[in-house]
Amino acid sequence: MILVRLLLVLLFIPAFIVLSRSIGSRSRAARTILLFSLPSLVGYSVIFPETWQSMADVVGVDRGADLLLYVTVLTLITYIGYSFSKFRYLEKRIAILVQEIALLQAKEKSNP
Amino acid sequence: MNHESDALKALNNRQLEIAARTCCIVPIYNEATVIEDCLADLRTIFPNILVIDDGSTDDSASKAKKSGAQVIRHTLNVGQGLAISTGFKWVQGQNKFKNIVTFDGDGQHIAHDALRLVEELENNSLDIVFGSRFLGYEKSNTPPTKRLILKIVARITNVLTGVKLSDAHNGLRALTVEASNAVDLTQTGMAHASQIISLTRRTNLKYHEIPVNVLYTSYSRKKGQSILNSVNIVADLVWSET
Repeated sequence: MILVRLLLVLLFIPAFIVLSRSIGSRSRAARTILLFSLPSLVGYSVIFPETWQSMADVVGVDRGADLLLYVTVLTLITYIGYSFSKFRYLEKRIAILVQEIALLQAKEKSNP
Repeated sequence: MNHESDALKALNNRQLEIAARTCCIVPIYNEATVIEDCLADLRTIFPNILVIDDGSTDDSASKAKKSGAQVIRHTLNVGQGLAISTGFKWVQGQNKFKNIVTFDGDGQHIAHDALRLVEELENNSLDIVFGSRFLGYEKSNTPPTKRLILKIVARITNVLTGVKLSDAHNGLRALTVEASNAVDLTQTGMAHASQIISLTRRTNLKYHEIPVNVLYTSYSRKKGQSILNSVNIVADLVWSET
């Protein structure tokens, strides 16, 4: 069981890196599925709380609530990481534009 | 003006020639208080000064123009790394300079140190020369906490890049225009200083480090980077390099 728990923790790191840093269409789809499935999972778990417990038993986590917490934290942190990546990506694009405009204006001034 | 001509007379012919084929890039952001004095000092030696105004909201750009510098303006404030990158690209397009000096616009550097860097560059056929405030120049009055942080950063940079420098974040450096092609900066903020060192290693540039003064005035202490900004620099580097 400890092996399964360790695997859950280790899975978190590559999942976080891939899902949060990539801005490609596949990882975007994965993030959307993750985000939209979260409220469904929460709603489902209110109606059928024993399902989470059954899954928790399978993966070796004591309580179903702990497993739900794990999935929630993974989703939120992934989204925070993704927002940060996207922000940096946009910042770089703005920087390129600012530089291009500056160099063009300088060129125009020297060759009016 | 007299001060400028007196200083020029004190330079020998070779120094005048070196200064003439060098373009000084001065990145500024809201430096209206000190930019005129800073450029006046620089003009005592260097005839070619390019000021990159990184979206200042004060009259830094007009003061720089009045001081006789060529000014390029960023429409938005992005960061010192982009300002230097813009300067590199402009100089590369001119095809008339051999060397570039990067010189902070907050009055922390001395023009004569910049000339020593370019002389070192040309005399030893180097690609890049870094200035260091920790190699024994008595005028550098680095605050103790800043000194400690900068030394730790320098040590970490040495380990990560393999480039042996005592001062990793000094804005005063000289490089050849050819080397500036290799130093393709993507870090738009203050992490550009670490990126220049990293690219020095990756592109096998020949480098030296020589002592320079870094003057800490009440203005530069107030305006300069906070120590906490080192956290942002590390985050920028890690986030973009991994």
